[in-house]
Amino acid sequence: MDDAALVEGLRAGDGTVFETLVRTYGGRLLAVARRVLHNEEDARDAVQDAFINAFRHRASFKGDALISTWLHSIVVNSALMRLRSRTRKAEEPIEDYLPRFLPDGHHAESFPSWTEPVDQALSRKETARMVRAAIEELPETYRTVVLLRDIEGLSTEETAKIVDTTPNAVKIRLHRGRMALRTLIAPHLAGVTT
Amino acid sequence: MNCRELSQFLMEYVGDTLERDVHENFESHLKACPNCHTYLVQYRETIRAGQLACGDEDCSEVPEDLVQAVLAAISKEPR
Repeated sequence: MDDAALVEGLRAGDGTVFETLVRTYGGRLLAVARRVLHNEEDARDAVQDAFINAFRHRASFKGDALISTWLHSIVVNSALMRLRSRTRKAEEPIEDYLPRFLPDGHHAESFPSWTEPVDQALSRKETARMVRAAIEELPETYRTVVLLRDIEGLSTEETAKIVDTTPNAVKIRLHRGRMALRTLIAPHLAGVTT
Repeated sequence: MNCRELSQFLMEYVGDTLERDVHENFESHLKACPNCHTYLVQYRETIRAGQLACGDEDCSEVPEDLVQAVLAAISKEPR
């Protein structure tokens, strides 16, 4: 079934079409929710909420975006709402993962080159798992922004709106989150401890 | 520009949004500093690594019990 037929069936409230949508996009949306929420049960609930919201607001889907993009934004919002409703933990510091500098402004450490291009390294499942584990290790404030900007492809402004902060704060968190992620994955990709 | 200052402009450099004069200073430091050059390469590769690692996950199938739970919830919604 192509997107045009899906849109038509979705607007008409056709149950068969909706089942096709759930089966086609459910796995991807569940992966998005798992990344944001870190918890299987919450991720499944977020996906279920997202599909119910999509069904309720199907008339608002204009058809000028891809269905996948529309569903993606709904599940991201649904997952972030659940994340916000959790008891807030004290913010973990990120400084230990950031580059250190000498008083004269030079790097305090040297960075060994990685042994192979990431496209090649990431073709191995264990390396992909290692990178996902490193993303999970990032303090939540930074992890959420890295996920929304770099993985889910949202703009700085969209991310700021969803996480309820300023675009400038998003930029700072993204930059620090990327540097922290580099620190976490570097020893595995360089084959030595940095 | 020193290494510390360069690190503050990495995101704008990678996103190609640096102002011209800062861009020139950034690149002249890069040419003289192999350590910063390596760091820049790895900063870029880190972004790519995250995308590749998570893209792999996106191919996963939706569990059947979740499909059924969604369809059961939808069936209770007014048409």
